[in-house]
Amino acid sequence: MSGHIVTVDRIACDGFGTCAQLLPERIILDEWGYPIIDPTPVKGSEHQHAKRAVNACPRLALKLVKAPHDAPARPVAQRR
Amino acid sequence: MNPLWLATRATGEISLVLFTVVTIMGIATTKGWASSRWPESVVTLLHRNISLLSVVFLGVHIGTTVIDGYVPIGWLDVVIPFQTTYKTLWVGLGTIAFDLMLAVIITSLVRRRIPQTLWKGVHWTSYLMWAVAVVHGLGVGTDQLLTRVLAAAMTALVLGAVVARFLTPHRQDDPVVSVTTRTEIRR
Repeated sequence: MSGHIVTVDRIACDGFGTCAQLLPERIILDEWGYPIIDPTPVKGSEHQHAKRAVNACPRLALKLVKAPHDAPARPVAQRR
Repeated sequence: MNPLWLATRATGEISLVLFTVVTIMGIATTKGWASSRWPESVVTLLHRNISLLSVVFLGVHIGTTVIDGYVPIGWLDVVIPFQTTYKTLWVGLGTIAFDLMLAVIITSLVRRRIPQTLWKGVHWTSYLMWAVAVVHGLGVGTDQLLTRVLAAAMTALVLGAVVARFLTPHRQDDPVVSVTTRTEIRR
């Protein structure tokens, strides 16, 4: 399924880091342990993994939501 | 020897061990005790999956007790405590532990749809559930030696983890320290 992005509720997140362990292809941790998430839509084969990471979040802070129309199609860094 | 009765006893002991493991892993999850061998995600998912496994053993424990029929314990006694003529108090404690477990499981399954404080409050009763279950095992009194040895070992483990839990500073407590560290790192 496409058209979904992974987001984090930054207030709920306590930096457990579970998401980065389960979805390393999309999520890395900043130096304080909080997630930096690839803003591009989740590709088909990644969907299952993304869902698993969302379900494993101990704070229910990680979410898989419908991508807004202005979501970047490619990673921001590569667009420049 | 009646195989159902043997199954009741065996699954009771196994449940004791599994619930202890689940309790300790739950504590480890809240405190973020993790290492490269036991990463956060592994502890979190094992806590969840082993708790479901222990429910299976507890289901067999309860099911064989009722089906066995040697002592009069009915299906209603599974959820309504202190109605049995056989060891009313000790069997009733088992019922209470089971009811608490049901509450913990149900609130966890619908965790996304209920207030987090409610989920957390109910989840805190796991400690009570674990303790009540241990007393139930000791009081019912079959396999005295094994139960006592196991209960002593499991109690030591859980108490150790609880003490360590309260000695570990809360995650929310370090921002003051981290803010200074963060500023220093940015410079």
